[in-house]
Order: sequence, then C-alpha cells, then structure tokens
Amino acid sequence: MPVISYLAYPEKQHRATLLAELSAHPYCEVIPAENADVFIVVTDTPDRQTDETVRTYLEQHHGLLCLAMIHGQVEDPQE
Amino acid sequence: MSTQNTQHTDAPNPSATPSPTDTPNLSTTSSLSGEGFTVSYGFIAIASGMMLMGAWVLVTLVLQGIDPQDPHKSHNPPKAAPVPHLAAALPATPTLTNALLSATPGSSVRSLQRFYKQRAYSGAPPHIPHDILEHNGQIDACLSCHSQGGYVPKYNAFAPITPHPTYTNCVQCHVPQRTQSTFRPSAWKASPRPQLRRTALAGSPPPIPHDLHMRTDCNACHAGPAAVKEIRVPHPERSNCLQCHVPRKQVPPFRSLSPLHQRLEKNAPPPTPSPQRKRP
Amino acid sequence: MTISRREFLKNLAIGSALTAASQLIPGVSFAWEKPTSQHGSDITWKKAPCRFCGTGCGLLIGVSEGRAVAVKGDPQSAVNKGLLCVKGYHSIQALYGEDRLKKAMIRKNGQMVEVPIKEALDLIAQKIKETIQSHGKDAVSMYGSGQWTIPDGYAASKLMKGCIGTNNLEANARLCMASAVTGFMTTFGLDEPMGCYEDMDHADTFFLWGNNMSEMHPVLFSRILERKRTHPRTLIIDFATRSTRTSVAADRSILFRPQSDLAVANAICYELFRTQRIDLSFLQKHCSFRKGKTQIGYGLQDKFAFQDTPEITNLDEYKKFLEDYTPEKVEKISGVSAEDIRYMASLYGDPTRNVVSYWCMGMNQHTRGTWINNLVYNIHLLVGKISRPGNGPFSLTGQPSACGTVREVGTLTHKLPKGMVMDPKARKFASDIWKVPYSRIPAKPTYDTVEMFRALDRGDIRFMWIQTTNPMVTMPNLRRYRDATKKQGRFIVVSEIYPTPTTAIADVILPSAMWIEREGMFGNSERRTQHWEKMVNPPGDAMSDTWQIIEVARRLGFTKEFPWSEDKHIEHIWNEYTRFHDNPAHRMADYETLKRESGVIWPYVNGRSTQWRYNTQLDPATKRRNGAVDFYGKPEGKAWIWLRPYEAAPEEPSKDYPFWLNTGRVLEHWHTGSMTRRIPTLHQAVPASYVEIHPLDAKRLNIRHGDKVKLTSPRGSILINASLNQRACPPLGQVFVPFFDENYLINELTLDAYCPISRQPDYKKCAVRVERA
Repeated sequence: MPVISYLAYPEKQHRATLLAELSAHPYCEVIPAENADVFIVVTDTPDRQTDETVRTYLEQHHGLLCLAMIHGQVEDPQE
Repeated sequence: MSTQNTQHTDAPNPSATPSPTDTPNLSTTSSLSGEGFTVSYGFIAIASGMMLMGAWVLVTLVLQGIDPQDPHKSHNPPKAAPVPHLAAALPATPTLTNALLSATPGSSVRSLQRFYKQRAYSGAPPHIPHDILEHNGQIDACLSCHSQGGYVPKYNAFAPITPHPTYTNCVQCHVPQRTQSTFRPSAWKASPRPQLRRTALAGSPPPIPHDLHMRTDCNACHAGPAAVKEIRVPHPERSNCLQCHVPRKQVPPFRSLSPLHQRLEKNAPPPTPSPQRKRP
Repeated sequence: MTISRREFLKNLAIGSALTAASQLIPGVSFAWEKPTSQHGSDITWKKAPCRFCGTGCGLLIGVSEGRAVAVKGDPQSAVNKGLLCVKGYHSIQALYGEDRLKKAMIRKNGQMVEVPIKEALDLIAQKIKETIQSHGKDAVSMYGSGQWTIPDGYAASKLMKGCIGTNNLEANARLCMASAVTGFMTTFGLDEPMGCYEDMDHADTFFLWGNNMSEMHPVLFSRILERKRTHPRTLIIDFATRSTRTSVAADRSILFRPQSDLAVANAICYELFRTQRIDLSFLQKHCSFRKGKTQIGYGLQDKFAFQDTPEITNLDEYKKFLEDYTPEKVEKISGVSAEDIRYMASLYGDPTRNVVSYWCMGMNQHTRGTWINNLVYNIHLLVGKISRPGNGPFSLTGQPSACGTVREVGTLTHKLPKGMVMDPKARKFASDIWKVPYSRIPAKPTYDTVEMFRALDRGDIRFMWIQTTNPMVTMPNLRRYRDATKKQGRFIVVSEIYPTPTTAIADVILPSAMWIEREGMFGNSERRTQHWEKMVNPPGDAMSDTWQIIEVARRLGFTKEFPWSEDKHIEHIWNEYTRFHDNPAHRMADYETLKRESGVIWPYVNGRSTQWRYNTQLDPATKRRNGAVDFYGKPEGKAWIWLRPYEAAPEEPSKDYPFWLNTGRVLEHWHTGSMTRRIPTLHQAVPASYVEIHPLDAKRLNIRHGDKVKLTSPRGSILINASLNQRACPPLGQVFVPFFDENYLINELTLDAYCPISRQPDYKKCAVRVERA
C-alpha cells in the first residue's frame, strides 16, 4: 500500500499535457502550483509492483523534466 | 568444585614437563584444587556480587526510564496542599477574601494538563502559579530560581527553567492570578492543543508541534527534574535536537523587504532541476 | 470528524511535498483545499498591529474555523521583533466576552430596546437633521478616538467638516496627546517625532520623563533592557513623581515634585551653558528663540480663550532667563538635589553619549504640557542631539492610532487632513479632494473636547455621536459631564462593543465590529502605518465604525461623497486620503505596500521609510543641506527655542486636601478596562482598582494594606482599598489610583484644568484628603 509524494517539474511546453494525463491516471493525484511550474504528485497504489509501474510511467513521461521523491510510506506496519 | 581442599599448593614437578602428546585430563579437577580453590570461591563470590549489583543497577535504570519520578519520592513527601503561612503573608489585592492560588504549586511532577491550564492557548505566556513580592527591588528576581532551576522546598517542586532568559522584564508577559472570578463571563474557546507524537513513520523522531520563537532551549522544558512528564525526552544527552526534530508547521520563509529583492523574486526563472536519476 | 489512515498518510505526504516546495521556491502556492484536520487545529496566521498601546507591536493572529484562537509576536515586525506583552498575547480574548453588543438598541420610555440596525441608523440620521433644523449645524457633534482606525477618522472628518459643515469633531486623543502636538508645532512647525524606535539600538543613555515605561510601553522598554544587556555602558535614568517598576529597572531613579519638571528642564539647560556643553554652531545654524505669554491660566472657566503671541528673542535673553533656574534654586522648588540636576545635565552634555528622551502622559497631561514639551526639546537642541540615529527627543503615543488617525487625518476641531481650518488654502485643498463646495467647510474651530462637553452641558450642543471611547469614565471632573449627558434635549449615540458607563447614558447604541473583525489601519508613535485584513466575522449585527458613518451619511443625502462599495471601501478611502499627504514631507505608502509589509514609516519615498526626519543625509524632504538638519516645518528651517517659565499647578495640596492625587494605568489593563477586564488572564492578575499610599503616610493615618480608604477632593469622594508596597510606591504626600475600574470612578475627583495652548487636561495633579474609612 505505498503512498508516495513527489515534486514533478514539467517541460515548459508540455505542462498542460502532463497535468492532464497525470490527473487522469488512476493511481495519481496532482496538485499544480498556482505561481510556479511544479506539481505535487501523490501516488496511492495497492502494492509494491503497481507502485514500481506507476513510478516508471512518471519517470519516462515525455513531458516530465524532473521528478523528486519527497515522502513515502511503503510498509503498513500492520501488514 | 574440588573436594580435595586439604592439599597444599605445590609447584608442579619441574621434571614432569608435559609432553606434547599428553592430552590434559580434563575430567579431573585436580588442577582446580588447592591454590585454585580459594581464588575460585573468591571469583565466584565477586562475580555473583557483580552480577547482583549489575542486575540491581539495570533494574533501577529500567524503572527510572519507565517512570521518571522525583528522586525524593522515596521519602514520601506530604500530599500537596497550599502552605498556610503563605496565604496570610501574601500581599493580596485588597478585594480578595479567600484562597488565591489555582494551580497550586506543590505536586512534585509537572503534568501536561497543568501546563496547559496555565496558558490561555497553546503558545501563550503562562501565568505565574505562585504569588510574587511586587516591590522587591530587582526587575529580574525571577531568574534567581528560573534561570537554573532547582528544588524549591516551599512549593515542594522543581522550578521550571525559562527557555528565554535574555528577556528580563518578566512581568511584562507573565502575571499572577489573584482571583479565580471573572469580571464578566467569557465565551472564549481555546483551540485544541497540539497533538503529540505525530510521527511520519513508525519510530520516526516526532515533529515539533509548537513555534520555536523564544523556545530554542529544548532542555528547559523537555529535560531535567522540572520537565513536564509527558514530554520528557528519553535521550537528553543528545543536544543537537533540531537535527532530527523539525517544526511541523512552517512559518512563511523570510522575505527580504527591499524592493530590489522583491523584483528579483518576481522575475526569477524556475529553478533548474538536477538531472533525472534512474532508479537503481 | 475522523479520517482514514490512508487519507492521513496522503495528507502527510502532501504536506511534506508542500514544505519541500516552499523551501525550493519561496512564495509558491498550490491550489489545494486542505481537508479540515480531525483535530480542527489548522491555524492560519495573519498580521495585525496590536489593539492596545501606542507602541504598535506587530502580531500574528492565529485564526481557525472562523475564530481567533492564538497570538504570536510577528518576528518580521521591526517594532517588537516577535515579543509582545501580556495584553497583546491575550488581546484576541477581548472579542469573546459573553456580553458583547450584538444588536442595536434605542431608548424607548427609559428602557433600551433591541432594534434592527437599519432602524437605529435611520433614527440617527433623522435626529441629526432635526437638530440642524432647530439649533443649527454647530449643535451636532462627534467624539471619536485614538483607537479609531484611519478610515474611521477619515469618514468622520469628511462627514462632519465636508458634508454637515461643522468643526464639532473631536477625539479622545485630545486628552492624551494634544500637548505633544502643540509642543511639536510650536518648536518644529510639524507634528510627530523626528526619530524612530531604531534609536534604541544606537543610544546608550535613556531619559524617561515622567512615564512608567516598563508598564506602559513594555515591549519598547524590553528593547532598552536588551540594549543595556549587550552594551553595559547604557544608562537608564527614571525621572518621575513616584517609584515604579521602571524605577527599579533604571540605573538612577530621580523623583521630583509634581509640576516642577518645568523648572528642572530649565535647570538642565542652565547647567549645559555653565559647563560649556552647548553645541554653539548647531544652535546658531539651526535654532532661533521665542518667548510667549506667561500667567496663561488653566481653562477652568467655560469658553476659556487663550491665544499665545510669540515674540522673537535671542541667545543672551535666553541665558538671562535661565539665571532663575540654577540647580540650587530649582532644588527648592522640585525636591531634586542640585547634584542630580548636574548629573542629568552632564549626561545630556557628554559628547560621547547618544541620548534619547522618552515621555508620555506625565508631560502631556499637564496644565503646562506644551511648555514642558518645548523645554525638553530645548535640551536636545542645545546639545545638537536630535534627528540622528541614537539621539533625539521622542514623544511616545498612548493609543494605537492617535498619530495615525487623530493627528494625521486631523479629527480635531481645528484640523483638516492637511492643514488647519483657518487656512483658506487648506480648505480649498480639502474641498477639491472631497468634491464639496468650498464654502461648506467652516473656517473657525469651535470646541476642544472639554469645551465640547461643557457646550453639551450648557445646551449649545444637542447631539453627540461617541465612537470607540468611554468618556463617562475618562472625562475629568466627571460628575458635571455625566449629568450633562442626561439633561433634556440631549441626544447621545454610542458605538461600542461592550456595555459601559457610556452606553448607560446613550439614547442609541450601535454594536461595533472590533479590530480584526474588519479591515483597517493604525499609525503608531514612530510614524509607522500598519494594515490588517478582516480575519473573523463580527457578531450579530455589529458593523465597523466606518460603515456606520457611511450608512448615516448616505441617509443624510451624501451618497456622492460616500460612494464606495462595502468590499472595497477601505482601499478606496486609503487612496483618497493619501492624496492629502502627497508631498515630500508626508508621503504615505500605497495600499498594496501596506498590505504586504508589516508596516512602513512616512514619509515613504521611493519605496523607503524615512526613519530620521530633518536629517539632511537621511530625509529626502530636506532642502537646506548646508548643515546636519533642516527643520523644514519652520520658515527659515530653524527650530524655535522657547523661553518657558515654571508656573504652579492650579490646585496644590492644602490644609484641607493635603495630598497630591495622581492617576494612570497599570500594565495589565487598557484605559477603562472595557476590553481587558473581560480577558480572564488580565482580570485575574489585577481584579480591582486601589489607592497607592506611602507606608509612612499610611501608618500615620492608621491605614493598613487592604483597608478601605476615603479619598475626597473638592469635587467628590470615593471609597477604595489601600495598596501598600506593591508594584509602585508614591512619595510622601502623594497617592496614585489607576482608572481601569468602572467601580471606582476616580475622575469624579480629578480637575478639568487644562493646558491653555493644547487644551489637554491634567490628570496627574489635584488635591485630595485621605482618611481611613
């Protein structure tokens, strides 16, 4: 049940595309900045493999300039 | 243990050099007898004594860690009560008729509940829970107890240490309570107190739920005998607190007020990110 | 409200990302609705100046779910740098007293009845019209406050002077700062201090003239203590009529007989000449000499009139004048030893010392208040210690916006936002900006505060609208003026937040929005204007004073003059008001700057505050740059050194009334206590008023601490408890009573004598008898 947040910097020309596509992604929540070119992206996936898949998708997105992982919880202590 | 304790100690026969092929006969305890025996009794006595001592120290330490108590507790101090002679000698405000003090100093351990009762809201300067001599000729007389702390027999408590001793006009912010009544009823509602232990992950260092202004001397409240017991820190010997504990709420970052800096900020290009890192 | 663990973790993750982003990109903001945390403790912090004293500390108010819940000192405020006093820390609790006025009330058949606020506003407008019809414009009056915001005062000034057309507009700052104003005007030609609080970071000698700074401007006093802590050479000299916490903290406490500060100030000047510490070149370049009338009276008769006539004089005459004020002669008048006078002079004259003088009510609430202000300026002018960092005379303001509103907007009978009503150019200027006929603005001042209440008593005034002040506790010789309000044919409107002795005599009560319940600005002692936004809603029908005035003005037909929309009216008022001050000596910052900064000092020129006025290097408004200063308020750029004598107080201790009565405040309570007494922490610290008596006097009168005492003056008497050996101690022959407690109306005993030049009453000196009750 990984919950991870990132700061995602878009390529200037692909900002809108990135925002739209990430918002549509089932496991992502995107909060764009109002006055800067950066998004907060939060992923909430059911297991590690899915999390890996989502992260790979993010990293390889053509509109992404840079991805910085900020905070995460991977193991649920009760698991 | 050898029973042959009558044999006197003798140097082994010099001529009887053990041959390399001799295997020492470990089943016999002859080598332990005699010279070895008193020593071994001694060793065992010492060893068990040390073990017992060690066990006692361990137990005491563990107990202290679990339940930090006033070291004088073993003397069973009397139950906290307002000291009678104080009430009479206090230069009370003329309209006062009965007992004055609310949070009576006297219980030996500061609790978080009492801590907050002294404050109108989290972060407010606490009121003074004991009476003060108003005209005593020294503006920072408070520091005589509150700069270093220490046990105060009059109140059967340890004086809390101020986290901001450089502000010496103490009564500018801290005032006594000379009555429990109000002039008119108040509909004041304090906001909920900061929650403790909101750690990000299990076992993480908990964030600081309060503002740091005038509260950068962590030990003043979190360590020592006057510390509030619920927030007493288990590792006071680590003194670089801010290395692990960060404020939970950030105040807006410092902004230079000069118009030049503001113009620079407004026109600043977005930061150049570091190259994308591939996952290992 | 509970949230799932999942949600909690997500919020945590987002929170960390927000923090990281704000570190990387200062000022970044995200479009995200934070879910209300289950603990409801999400607090937003917004800046505001403090509601209380003239220091003007910057606060950060913590607002959560529509309520003010916490206070921090604003670390970014240059005034207080994050520190507050006990009043500031608990200020927000004043919003939440249970008996907060929420509904308008009208007196019907002797009883106050709740009515919709529109009905009350209609009635007020109707009464104004009726009064004007039957008795003329000058029968209508308004009495406001140094706790009015700037927009409140501006709306009042425009309504009274520009629309109704009367100069019957006064404010309670007449009772606290008028002598400071006339002191500035007569010496420098322009109001308000030339220095700023930053002087405290450069000075090493602090003279406190008759003010208990440790209790009255505590945060500033803490700055002085901090200076002393880091610069051991620093000296604090407490020059006062009684021993207080300030005396305890000072290096030297020097007591003087009431009123004799006039003589001591002159004696210090005499000493400076004798020890040749005068800065002669400064004197010749930047000062000229004047003398005025003497034996000028005390304003005790109705319609007391006085006009000073300045006469040019010279240095030699001044030195001859000072011969009457040798330290030995003054010792006899003042009780201050000649040695102490010489000591004070030596500090002022020491060329290696940076000297600041602070004063407040001791010098202003004085029947020769203008004179004593002049005399302390003389000292600084003689040694050239003025208008430069760490040096200068500084008049501290009592109220949060006596400067910003009453003095700068000019809510006094003789003032306009720029200039005085007597000046046709000033009237023309106002009529242009206000877009009202020039002839409507009246040219003659009518009444100062005391005279205004006397006029109410006589019936020359029939209608009075009181806002944000409590004259039924604060008027000196109170009985006369309270009786006046109860007379037939007097219609009194009171805008208030709590029931007070003033609302008790009102015919209409309007509930007012308090402080952070509306947007506003204050201006503090050091010419710093500070803005705050509306943070919480006012209760019930409560409405800001500004909007009340606008509503009534529109009902009187002045819709053109008050056209603004409710959500933008403060901004529009600010833009219109600042046009009055659009000149190099008084330029104000624009609205956006005020919102952004924690406060800016005027003149605000090219994005910079002018901290030291008249300094040719630091004040862009200076023109004559051939010396250190240009006092551009006076025609030749020279300040006036006034020859002011010692004159006795009107009522001194006598056989029947052998004690001086002094009145004032305490740290915990603000003015008449209507706010601070409803703050539990403050009330519980000082629950009731008392009379301070010297222990030997008390012993002689068989009075012990806590005993009931009867105080009697020629005007009334009061029963009150004695306080011995507490935080302050008067000398023999003097008693002190704080005025915050409406159960002990000490102003029934005080005298309504005033300084004939400033018209400010003297609350510090009258004569009483003290007996065990």
